[in-house]
Amino acid sequence: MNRGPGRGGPRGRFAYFEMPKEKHIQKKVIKRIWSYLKHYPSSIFFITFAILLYALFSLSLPHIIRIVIDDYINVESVNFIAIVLIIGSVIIITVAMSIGSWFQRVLMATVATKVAKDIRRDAFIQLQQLPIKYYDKNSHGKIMSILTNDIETIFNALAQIVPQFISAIILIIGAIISMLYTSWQLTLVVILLLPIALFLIIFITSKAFKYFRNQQIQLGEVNGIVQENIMGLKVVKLYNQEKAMIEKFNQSNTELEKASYQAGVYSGLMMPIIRLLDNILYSLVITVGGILKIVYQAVTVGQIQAITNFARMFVRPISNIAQIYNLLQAAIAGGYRVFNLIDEKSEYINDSDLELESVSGQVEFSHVYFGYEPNQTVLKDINFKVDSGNTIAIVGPTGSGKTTIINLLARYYDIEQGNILIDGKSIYDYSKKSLRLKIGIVLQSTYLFNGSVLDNIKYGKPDATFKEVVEAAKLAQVHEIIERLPHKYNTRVQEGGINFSHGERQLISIARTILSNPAILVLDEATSSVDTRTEAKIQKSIGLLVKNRTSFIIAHRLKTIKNADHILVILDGRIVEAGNHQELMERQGVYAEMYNLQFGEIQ
Amino acid sequence: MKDLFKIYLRVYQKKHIVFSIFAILFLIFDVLIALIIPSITKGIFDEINSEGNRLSYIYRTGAIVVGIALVAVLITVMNNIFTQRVSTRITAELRKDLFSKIQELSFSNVDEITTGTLITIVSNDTAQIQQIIMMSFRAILRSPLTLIGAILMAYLINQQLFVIILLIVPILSLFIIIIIKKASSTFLIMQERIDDLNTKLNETVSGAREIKAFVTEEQEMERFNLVNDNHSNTIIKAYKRIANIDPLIILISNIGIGAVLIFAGYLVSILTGEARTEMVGTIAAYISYLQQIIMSLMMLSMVAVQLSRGAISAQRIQKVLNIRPSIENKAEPIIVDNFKGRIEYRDVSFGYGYGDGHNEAVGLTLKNISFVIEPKSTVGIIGSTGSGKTTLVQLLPRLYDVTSGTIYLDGIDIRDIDLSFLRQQISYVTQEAIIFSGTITDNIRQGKEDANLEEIEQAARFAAADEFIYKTEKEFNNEVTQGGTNLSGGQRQRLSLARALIREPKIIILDDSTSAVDAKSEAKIKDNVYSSKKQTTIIIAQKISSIRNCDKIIVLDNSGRLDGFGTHKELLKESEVYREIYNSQFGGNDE
Repeated sequence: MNRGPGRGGPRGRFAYFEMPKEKHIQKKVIKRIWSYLKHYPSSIFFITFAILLYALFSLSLPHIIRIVIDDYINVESVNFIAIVLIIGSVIIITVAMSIGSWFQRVLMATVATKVAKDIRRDAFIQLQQLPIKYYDKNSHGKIMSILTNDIETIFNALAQIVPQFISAIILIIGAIISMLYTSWQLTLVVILLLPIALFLIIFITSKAFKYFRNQQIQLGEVNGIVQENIMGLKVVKLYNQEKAMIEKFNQSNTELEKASYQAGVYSGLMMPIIRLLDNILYSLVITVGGILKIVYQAVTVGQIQAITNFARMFVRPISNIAQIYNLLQAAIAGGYRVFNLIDEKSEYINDSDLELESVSGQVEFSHVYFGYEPNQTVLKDINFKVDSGNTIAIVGPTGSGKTTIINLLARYYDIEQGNILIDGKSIYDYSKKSLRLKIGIVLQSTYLFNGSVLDNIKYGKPDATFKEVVEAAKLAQVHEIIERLPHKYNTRVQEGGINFSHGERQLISIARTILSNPAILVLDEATSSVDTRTEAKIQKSIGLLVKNRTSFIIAHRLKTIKNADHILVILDGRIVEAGNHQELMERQGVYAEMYNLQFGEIQ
Repeated sequence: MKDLFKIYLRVYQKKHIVFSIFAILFLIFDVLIALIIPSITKGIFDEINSEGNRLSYIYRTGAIVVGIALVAVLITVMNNIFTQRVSTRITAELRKDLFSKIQELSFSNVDEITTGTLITIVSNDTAQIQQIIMMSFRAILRSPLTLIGAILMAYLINQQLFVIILLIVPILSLFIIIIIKKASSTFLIMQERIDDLNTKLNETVSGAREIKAFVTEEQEMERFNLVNDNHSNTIIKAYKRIANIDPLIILISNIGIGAVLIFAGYLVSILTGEARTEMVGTIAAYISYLQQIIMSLMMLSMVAVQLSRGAISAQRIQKVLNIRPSIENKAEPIIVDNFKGRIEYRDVSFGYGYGDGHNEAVGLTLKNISFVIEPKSTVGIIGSTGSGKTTLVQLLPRLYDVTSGTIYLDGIDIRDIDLSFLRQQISYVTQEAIIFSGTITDNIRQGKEDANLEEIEQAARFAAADEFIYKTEKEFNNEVTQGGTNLSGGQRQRLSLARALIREPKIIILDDSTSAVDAKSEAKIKDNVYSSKKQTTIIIAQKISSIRNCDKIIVLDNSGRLDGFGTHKELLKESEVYREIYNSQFGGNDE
């Protein structure tokens, strides 16, 4: 039910990776899902009760038909009690079955929805707790797939597994008892066919499962190619790659066709096989029954009719259980990934309770070593001190570790060795959240949230007045741009800000940070996508912004950092030069070379 | 529905028709057998219950039922095989048609439909169609056939009891229609809630850095809970509506059975004087037919839901398939002999969306631009963000076509030149480097399919990409992930530059394509590419320092007009926009 195109990125792309093979892990996942179900004990009780009601009364129907046939129709005298009996039982059975079925469906859907909601909530809580490291390591598509597809799989499985399982058990037991009660000889006939039935059903189920899995994998391939193709359409056209792309696609497409054909053929075997079993049972029961009645007078016609009905009730649940097994596998695969996400270590574990109170903004890196991977050191012995209110610029080629310094300051990542101090106190003694509230970061690539432009500027300070917002926007040189928008400050931001240019997003982000008024300001290539004329204007605002505020500026265009109090030049993770512009130019080192490359030709 | 029908007609295309006919034939056999079985078993019951008690008859009929059942399985399996063949093949064809179509789409088309939707169309919507085609060889045909057949068989067996069926069928149909109508409106709302939920989740994953930076975790949590609650409440509501069908079916089917028992047992025998014992077989058969009738009505209701979903998918698929490519080859495209690469823009204007007949209100991005670029010269383009620099150069390889005016290459209107020949002469290096999954070699080879290893290495060296490539373990055979995520921005840019250089184009366009490359490598690239004068070079830049030595510089003003065209020195005198940009970069520069 819960399907259809969503905005969750390519579907099914990651549907079948990381499937646990070990039995004890599978058990663990099932237990975990059960722990969510357990929160609704009364619902589960009523569901069981409703199913019992439904199953028992549907089992009683053949009995009634048998009694009517044997005792009232198949005798000579007319008996009006029978009419009352028939009408009465039809009413009772109908009411009981309706109640049972309705409650079972509604309660189960409710419980499954609530469990899915709870799991989703826990996953969402976890999203807030996950360290940035997790987001850097796992692709956006993968995380989204866990949050949408996998939770949906659990929901679909739960909604079907629980009621089908309970009713299958009740029906199998009930049908056997009913058959034994009706005629043990004919029951024997039914039971004899059971092993063949089981074998066929299990065979088909396992084959179909295998092929469905294959189909999912192929679908993922096809989706990947389509995505890559659309993203790179420009290059495809410019380099006349259309034919090569179609060829690449055709290969995967044919594989998908094959996989989905196989999956369809095997899963399509189930229904006819069940029907075959039904029919064979039917004719066996009737033939044997006929012999028993005619030769030995051991059974009645009503009994034969009843057994044929019970036999049908007996075969269906067996095939249902086989399908439950498939659903369960899918749920385990989905659950495994969801719970892995939920169980990721929160970055707030072992976090200090101590709040970082007002700071003057003196920052010190003391012999800091750091690497994203255990044996790949990105920063080596970083050592510097910024006085409060000063502006420090970090320059260096791409990949030299500039942004890493910011990641460490905001504690997105934690250092291996050394210490980082604010106002002489180690930042590791304080809570991460209180630290981050003191630091305002404007990133190179800015994400805007759904909502209005106003909401986005107010993001860091929800109680800001409109006047404050406008002031911040003016400082960021974005007020005029916003005023030109169709609904000005109330213009909606779509999907992360795709209706704004890169530069506009950066400007809005600067306004957002200005409004939140942080003690320490970080501008990480904050104006890289803004044209130089606008940048020149922002420079003035930034000049105001960094005044009396400790500021870190990372910039490619060296012009923008010339006035910094202190410039750090980083090369391969080490500080190779430090000082102000004047000093560094005189030194004739790396900085001077970089500067001359950008400006030298002008003189 | 029209679109769905159009796609469905593919079933009767020549290449599928044989499979389709077989699928339908087997389906008809299948229905017939299902209809015959109850009437055969009726015979057995009658026989058991009769005075004659002929065992041989029972044996024979039992054997017949088993035989028929076996045949039925074979038939169903055959039906399934043919059905799967047709449905998976047509779906694969649809996917292929869509993919080929995507290659022809203009960028305004892609922008409008969005990448996400296109992927959903290729994967989900085609899967939906596959379901429909499968159903067309099963439930869609089977239900009405079974319905009519079962009614007919019931009538043949006993006319008096037929009254029951006459009453039940219309009542049940009516109820089912009402419930489905109600439920489907809830499903529409449900879809919206799912979208809301996905949007919120997407936002949280994409904006993780912002959320942490502003410490808005709790605020996000509150907003999410709202969406999450809304979503689950809507789902529960939808399920409640659907659950209403159950009691209805149970009620009507039980009333039917009760009525059959009473009618057959009493009323009929009273009315006609037939012995009640004669009726046992009839009762069993009637109950079977009644169940078949109810089942097919239920199936039809499911078909209705599926069809309405399929219709939406079909509409989306056809919408893409029906897009006419706006940029195509002329009837007899020209391949230019001895191509030199003289570029002339004559009175060129361009507005996004003009060619596709919508968005007329957007306005022109470029207005009346004219200039000439001589072969092997180097030309810079400068202007503020949004002034149309990228748009201007994208017109040359015909990523977009001009709205008015003409672009000439060697004096020939580029719209008359063979499209792939045209693009072969031009290497346009985009702002954001686009890299494909595969090896480094694969990516560079896209520029020249038959390039040998030496040429590849040389191109990499010219693009200053050799250094980082040799640092990787497998060097040129190193695998690049989708979107090139295992490379840094600067590395991606250099790789895409290598791809552009390997074809030794007559014209190369660098659209701010070294923005993430470090200064040293950039200097190298400068020497290798534009100082070498091997081809016409067009450079879009933010920094005046990057273009001041160009032979000519194009200056665009904010409204998409040409503000100046000349050398650095000339422009400092003539172009106000150029002076302003210059001052913003070097003003107050006391060096």
